[in-house]
Amino acid sequence: MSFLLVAWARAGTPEATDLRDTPEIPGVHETPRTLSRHEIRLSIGAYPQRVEPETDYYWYRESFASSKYYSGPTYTAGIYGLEYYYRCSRRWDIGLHFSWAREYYSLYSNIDGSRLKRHDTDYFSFTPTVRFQWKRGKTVHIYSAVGLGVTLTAESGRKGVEDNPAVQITPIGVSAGRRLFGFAELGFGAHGVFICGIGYRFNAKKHRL
Amino acid sequence: MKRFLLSTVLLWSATGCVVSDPGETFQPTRPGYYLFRQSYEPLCDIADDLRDVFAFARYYVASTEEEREKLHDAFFYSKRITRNGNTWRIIDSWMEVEIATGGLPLQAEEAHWTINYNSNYDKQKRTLTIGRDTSAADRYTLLLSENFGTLTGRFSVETTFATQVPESGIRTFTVKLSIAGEGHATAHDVGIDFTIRTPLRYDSSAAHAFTAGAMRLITDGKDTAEAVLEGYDIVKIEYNGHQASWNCSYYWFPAE
Repeated sequence: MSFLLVAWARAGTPEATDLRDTPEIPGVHETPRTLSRHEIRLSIGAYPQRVEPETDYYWYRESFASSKYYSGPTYTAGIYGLEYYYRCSRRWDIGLHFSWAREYYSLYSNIDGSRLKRHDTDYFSFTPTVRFQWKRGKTVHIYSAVGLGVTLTAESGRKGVEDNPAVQITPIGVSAGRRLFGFAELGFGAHGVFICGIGYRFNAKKHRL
Repeated sequence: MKRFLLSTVLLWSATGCVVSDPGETFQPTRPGYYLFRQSYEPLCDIADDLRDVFAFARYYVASTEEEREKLHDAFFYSKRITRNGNTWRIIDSWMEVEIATGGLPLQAEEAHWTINYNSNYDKQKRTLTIGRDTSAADRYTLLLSENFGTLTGRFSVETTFATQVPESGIRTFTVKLSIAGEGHATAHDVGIDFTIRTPLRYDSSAAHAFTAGAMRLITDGKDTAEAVLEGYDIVKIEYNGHQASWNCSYYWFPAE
């Protein structure tokens, strides 16, 4: 997959050249030797915004059986993400953002109030992402990103998975640190409104500058 | 970096307990209310149908064209009424109601009207029959057979027809109904036998609802609920030893 991303980046971006030959540009303060090609990140998010087109399935049909139970509060277990980015130029990165989130609630009896069972919904979101670096400093990076992909939804007690479009728009993100860094983002989409985490930048041996 | 890691751990703790939906509350009378709704809603539909039947019965016996026109304007303003022998049709864009009168007014002792409802919307058809019950004035027997839909039964219907001329001078007509009897309602996953213990009261000026009456509802599985109407669309349900009032206008919300 990363080979495909690299190939796409090199073919589609005129800036994807050897950085040793690239002149210094405003806003990019790292020296070519410290720029890393690869970046992996672990993230935690909150408040996902999902695209869920209304279908017949969502038209809840009350029945005598369903009137005998009720659902308690729905909790979210957070959104846990794994991201990979490839720096294809001084300004542009491309990558893949994967996240998993779970929502769950319990069903209770309307007859005696007892707890009957737990209902889980898992969301797996994949968004190929393009990221633009406004400032690529020695320790602080400021960036924006846009991702478009798919969310797969699996519910307990329901066969198969449902796929819906997924989008993640990050107007502002900040990372601090060199190789090992922390980051925080404010955005909108399947991976959450608030996202933060830690990451690591590195160069593969054959691409070392 | 330590601060960042600490913030990450804090966010992780926070996102793990976010309530995205407050959920529902314990409603021990909800199954009883469900049984009531499945019987009450079709009965409301029938009451609305009967309003037009009794209005047409007045139209049928009207002695002057002027009186017919007033009744037409009051009850069938957007409808066309046609006649072909002893069969009358009340037609609008949604429904065609075919009334076979047998040449007798509904008020006659031997009257027996068969009424077919043909929907122009979903092409469904249903039939009810109504005849005069000679045990009392303005009392009729309503029969809903298998081909009526989700509701079957035999009911006694008393009707009063009132005319008001308020100070504004605009004459208004109202049909009041009192319905008693027994029936069976078929719901999505349950069959319900119901008995109207206290007659259901209907007033055409507050359509599609009953204002008083009481019902006992028993399912195939012998679940039992008692329903007492306490006012316009407000019902007190007793089920499984619990009691609560519900507002029928807001489907699943308890009455305050």
